[in-house]
Amino acid sequence: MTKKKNNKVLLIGWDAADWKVIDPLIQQGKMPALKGLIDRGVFGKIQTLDPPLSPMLWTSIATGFRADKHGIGGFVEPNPDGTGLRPVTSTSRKVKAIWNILHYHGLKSNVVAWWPSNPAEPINGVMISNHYQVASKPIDEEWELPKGTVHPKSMAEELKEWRVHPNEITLSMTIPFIPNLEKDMELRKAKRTSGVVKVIANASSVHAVSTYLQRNTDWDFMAVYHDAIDHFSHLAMRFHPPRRPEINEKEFDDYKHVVESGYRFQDMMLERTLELIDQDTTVIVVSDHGFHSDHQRPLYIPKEPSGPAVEHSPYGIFVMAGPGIRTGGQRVSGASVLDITPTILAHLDIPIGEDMEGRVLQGVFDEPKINETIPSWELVNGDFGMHDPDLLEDPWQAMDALQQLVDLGYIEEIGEDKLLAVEKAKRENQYYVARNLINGKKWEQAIEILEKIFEESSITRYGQRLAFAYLSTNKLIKCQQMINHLRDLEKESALMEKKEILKKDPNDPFGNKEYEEPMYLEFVEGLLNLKINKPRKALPLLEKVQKKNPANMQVAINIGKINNQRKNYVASAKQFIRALAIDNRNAQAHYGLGISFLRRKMFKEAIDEFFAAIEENFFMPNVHYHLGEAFYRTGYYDESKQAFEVAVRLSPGMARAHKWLVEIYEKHLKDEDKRNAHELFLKQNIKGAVYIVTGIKGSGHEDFMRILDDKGYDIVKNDKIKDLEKGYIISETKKLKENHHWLARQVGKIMYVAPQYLSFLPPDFNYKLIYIQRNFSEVLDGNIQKGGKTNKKQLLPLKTYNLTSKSQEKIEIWIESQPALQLMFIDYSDMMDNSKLILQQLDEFLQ
Amino acid sequence: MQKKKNVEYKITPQGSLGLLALGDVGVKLWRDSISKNLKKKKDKTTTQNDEKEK
Repeated sequence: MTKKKNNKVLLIGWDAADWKVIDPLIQQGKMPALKGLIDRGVFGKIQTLDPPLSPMLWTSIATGFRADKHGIGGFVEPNPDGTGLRPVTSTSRKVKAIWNILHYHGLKSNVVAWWPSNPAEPINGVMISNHYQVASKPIDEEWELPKGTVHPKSMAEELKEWRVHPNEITLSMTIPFIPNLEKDMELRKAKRTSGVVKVIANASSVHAVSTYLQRNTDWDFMAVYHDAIDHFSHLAMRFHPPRRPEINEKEFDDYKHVVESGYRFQDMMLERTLELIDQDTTVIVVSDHGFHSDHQRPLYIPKEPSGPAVEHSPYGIFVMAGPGIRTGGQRVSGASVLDITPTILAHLDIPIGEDMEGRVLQGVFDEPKINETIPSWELVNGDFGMHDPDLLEDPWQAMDALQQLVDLGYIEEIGEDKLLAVEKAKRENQYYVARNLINGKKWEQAIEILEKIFEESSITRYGQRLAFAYLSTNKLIKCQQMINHLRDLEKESALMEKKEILKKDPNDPFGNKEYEEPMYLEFVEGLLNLKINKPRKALPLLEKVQKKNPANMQVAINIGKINNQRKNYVASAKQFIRALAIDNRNAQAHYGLGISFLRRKMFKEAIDEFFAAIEENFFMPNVHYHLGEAFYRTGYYDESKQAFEVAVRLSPGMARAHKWLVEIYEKHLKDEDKRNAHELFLKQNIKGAVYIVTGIKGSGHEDFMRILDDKGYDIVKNDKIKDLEKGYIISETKKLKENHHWLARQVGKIMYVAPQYLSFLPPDFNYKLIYIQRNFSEVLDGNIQKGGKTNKKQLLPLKTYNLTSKSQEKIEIWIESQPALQLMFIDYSDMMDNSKLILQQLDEFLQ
Repeated sequence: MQKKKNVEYKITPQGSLGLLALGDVGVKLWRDSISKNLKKKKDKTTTQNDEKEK
């Protein structure tokens, strides 16, 4: 297939570039090349994926797929001979990259230093792998190009001379980054200074060879990847002004210019790159994630592989300019790293794979694009300029196969330590893929991976993410159990960890001062407590997390929600504003802030925030509902009616919105027909809320019901039976499946339903569930005694255990199946110890 | 696109970030300057040695 394009595309990758650093530099005229590009095109933030690890993200940028599909999970993979690990290679990529699709269309591509791209692929054009610029030997020794660095091989000699060795970098090239080098001889020997020199050399190598290719080859698509900004930032962002109190003054003074100079150097290189393109070239500058540069800079690096990624921020940069692209520096929103490949394909009028996880950024084009699609590029056979299929293999599977050969005695035993290292790295890779799946809301796939690797290793990070995945899929009991299990593990290893922390680690970039865990477990536990309506328990946990992770937007939003629930509206506003400082387009934060304004009677401000939330996500019925309420309070009944109408369209069962509409049509708009229609809807469809108490046999729900009865709560009971322990178990619940008309009489009351009958509750009521929980061994002990037969020899009463477990499972399944169920978990021992507090929480829940 | 005026620069063996930012052309000019400088030094040493021998 041949297809010659007039419109060329130049894709420039700036790892970790962030608007928060760029914006002030542009304002000061220090990044003129990027500014010029923005002015003649469009720009915006680009959302990264989790985990923000570069090989994974740059592969998503080049393919439009997440890690579970593209196969690049982390930084390393096993050596083919099983002797250890090596940097991740291009042969592990399982899908076609954009240059492969362009090759199929007869287009020529130059690809420079993309991560990972070694060995270089046999594309129509030139590929220089990410091993090109790496200097592994001193300058006086032969600096050979590693195998597989250049395609076509015939160009290797011609291209290798453009590499700049770190030893070539002179003082005058380094002084703009570290001015104190001029006088300070000791500073010249510092490890961080050598790091800066190495980054300058690597960036210069990539830039020199790419400008050479620009000038000396024909191409339709060119992709150049620069890691300089990311590396300068990891080396010195903590010294970027303003200085924080915990940063050493001398070091701050020495390295405070590194980041700014890094960006400016990158801009100077961009200027030259742009000089070398013609007017038919569309340019894209993109980063894979941002980098915290302000008060959100972390004060610790988590003690885990890829820990430094905690310095990355969730939004990178995106700039696009050229023929067919809107001009005038207009902002585009909602871009994701997954969108780059589909957008370039659309721009070049090449079909997009329907299986690609990104979308075309329509907002960048001056005329709407009608995209042709095909089911999948992976199903198309032909010449895509890819590696020989024999080379393409899953290295982790290859490692397993290798071990089989060892077991059979065909090859020599691989050292135990090497195998262990490979196993560890394999699990770590799977962990990254699972996180990437969580990020894409592919919960079940993520759970499958995490359950496996956690069972194998008991590594707490894996368990923490698993707990989060359970929480997100409403597997609340499993989530609680995992949290408890992790807490036990934590206690066991507490002493050991303490010793570990005290050990010196040369890789800790913070000089071992701030080496702490990121408190993810507290975060998940806080969210769980929030979900089961225990805001009082959730709040201190989340506040603790926020102290360590001030940049965590989700923590801020959830603390805000708790404060709103507890009517601390000033405190909640602070949290939502904090969240909006991290992402000013977050719909939840705008909504929460709106509620805070509404309840403080600041209606105009509330309306603005609700509109901001709707702009980001229209499909939030609660936002429309509260917008309706805000308009009503200001006397704008027409607008109020419209908002409530949208709310009931989005959520037809929203009884309270129907009630408002009845009120508005009756008292203000005088529209009897419409009033009646909503009244009728309420009569026919919404039969009100019933409060359900449940719990497995032996959990103590009878005690709870007795307390409620004593305190005068309206509970459903059979008055004919005097013994309340049996009286609240009404026989009708057992026949819910056949007849539930009687339920309408129980609206607003608290009723016990045994676990096995929950699934028969009809859908035309709103339910609030109060779930009584008790320590499992206490439940078992109680149930064995109640069974009457005690066999002292029987250590594990299997029958009782199985019955109790099944009963618990029934509750769990029902909870999972309810889309908008409001839940409150009550711990039996909490209830017995402090029933006053529990009843206070119950009152809040029942409101 | 506006054509830039030709400006003459003195390229020293110390080089500069500006030269590196020029890409292949800049690297070549800088390395040429280093070679020239080395040659100059070598020539100077040879001449001095010759003079000494004389």
